[in-house]
Amino acid sequence: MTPPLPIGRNRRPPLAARLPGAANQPPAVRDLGALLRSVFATVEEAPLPDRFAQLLDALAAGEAATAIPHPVLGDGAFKAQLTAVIPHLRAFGRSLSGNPDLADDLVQETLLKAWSARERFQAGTNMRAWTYVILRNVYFSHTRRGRFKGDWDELSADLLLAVPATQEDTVALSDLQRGLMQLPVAQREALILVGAGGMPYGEVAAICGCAIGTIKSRVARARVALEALMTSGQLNGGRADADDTGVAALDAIMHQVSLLSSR
Amino acid sequence: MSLAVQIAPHLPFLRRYARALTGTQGAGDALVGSTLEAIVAAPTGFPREVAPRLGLYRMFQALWMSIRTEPARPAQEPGTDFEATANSRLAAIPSLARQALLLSAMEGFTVSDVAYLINRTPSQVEALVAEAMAEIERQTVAQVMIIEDEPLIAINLEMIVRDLGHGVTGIATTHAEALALFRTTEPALVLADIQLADASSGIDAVKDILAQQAIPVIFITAFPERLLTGERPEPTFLIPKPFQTAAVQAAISQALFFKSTKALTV
Repeated sequence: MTPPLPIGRNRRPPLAARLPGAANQPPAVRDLGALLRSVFATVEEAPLPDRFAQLLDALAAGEAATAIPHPVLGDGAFKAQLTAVIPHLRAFGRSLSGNPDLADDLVQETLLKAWSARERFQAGTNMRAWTYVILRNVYFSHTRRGRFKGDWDELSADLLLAVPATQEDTVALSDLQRGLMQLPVAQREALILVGAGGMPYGEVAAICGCAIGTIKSRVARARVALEALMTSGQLNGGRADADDTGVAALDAIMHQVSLLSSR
Repeated sequence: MSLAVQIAPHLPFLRRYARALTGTQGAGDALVGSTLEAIVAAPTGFPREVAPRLGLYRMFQALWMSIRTEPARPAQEPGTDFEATANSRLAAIPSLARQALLLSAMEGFTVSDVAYLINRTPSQVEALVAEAMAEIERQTVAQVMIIEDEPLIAINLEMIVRDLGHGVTGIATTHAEALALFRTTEPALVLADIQLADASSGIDAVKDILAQQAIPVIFITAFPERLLTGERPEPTFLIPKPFQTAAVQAAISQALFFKSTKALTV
């Protein structure tokens, strides 16, 4: 469903995963192990010989040649499944970008990409997770392109001048939305997917391409940061005197997002 | 995920294990290379029912055990002194016990994983590791001299040393006593305090000892800052008081394993 990852020859598993037996060893054995590891540390850090890399490439090539083709959905069934996830995509795109217009652009591009890649979708796997990955990639390539682009929009500017202050409850909500937009994007998307999407950590980790623990800590840090932003009122521009706590407002935005996605 | 991606992160560690097992990088890499070739030739033979790391080591072990006679450990390659010492210590351990020790202690596998890797039962693995540890203990057993004027601490240190299986040549409480004891007993390791009974300095005592013979020294002191001001004789270890028994044990074991208290920086 996703293109093969580049072979991570320099990626190391974390220490605890590397030495699962150490916890139950006598101290003398553990100490000796640490000594030996430091003696041979240069070997572990040295680049692999070219011959090993060639053998790994040969292994990967051999596997690709013998891979069994995965089951593919028919066009009709694919279209039905894709249509079913559109509300979720809109909700995700809106929360991620903080901009409804941009969100719909993102969804449109996501749908186009998904349709043209439909042969790579494995029947029976999760359509929502698959399309979220695409939307996320679209959004990140968009933000990379648009890093130096201001978000001044003449039409919105005219409307802003003409329209009176928004209703109180919406204001509280938009405070939280502003707070959400102030979070680092990795934290924001973790919070959105887990909180609003109601997705299990494992699925979110797969979408974001990182470990479950990373998602858990991002969500935790995002909650803390958001709550601090809401209570301190240090929001970028606009109204900053939210009388609601971050958690209650968070519930409100999550409710809004799930309403949106159930439409 | 493809097998190549799964096993690639573990190759540096397999190389380390192979080098420690065989004694040289060349012999170790040849074995790792043959292991990879075997996997490329028959990827279906790779054990899928276990974690990729365990499967990779299992393939390596199968190859290693299929070699009837262990290749003679070739002449020493250029490496650090530490590695040369470690290699000579490991070489004296019988092959199977060495595998059990390296797989448990250095590679950190659990007892049941090691049992799977070397085709033995868990209790056999534990016995093999104990055998290897006993061999290293036999090689490193030494006479230790203690320079310490506080009787209680001196007794505590003596117990730590004896519990590790080493002997104590004596306890010196002053600079002069230390020099006399060193000359008459020729210890392999010195544990030294800094502030001594007659207000003489353990640092000076150690400097005089090191001037006669380069032996490993471990300072155990409540005044670590006095050793950080540049007058610390090198190479020595430093353990601040109040000390933890485990820290002293580890320092003694390391010093005697390498016959040195040089900083282990690689």
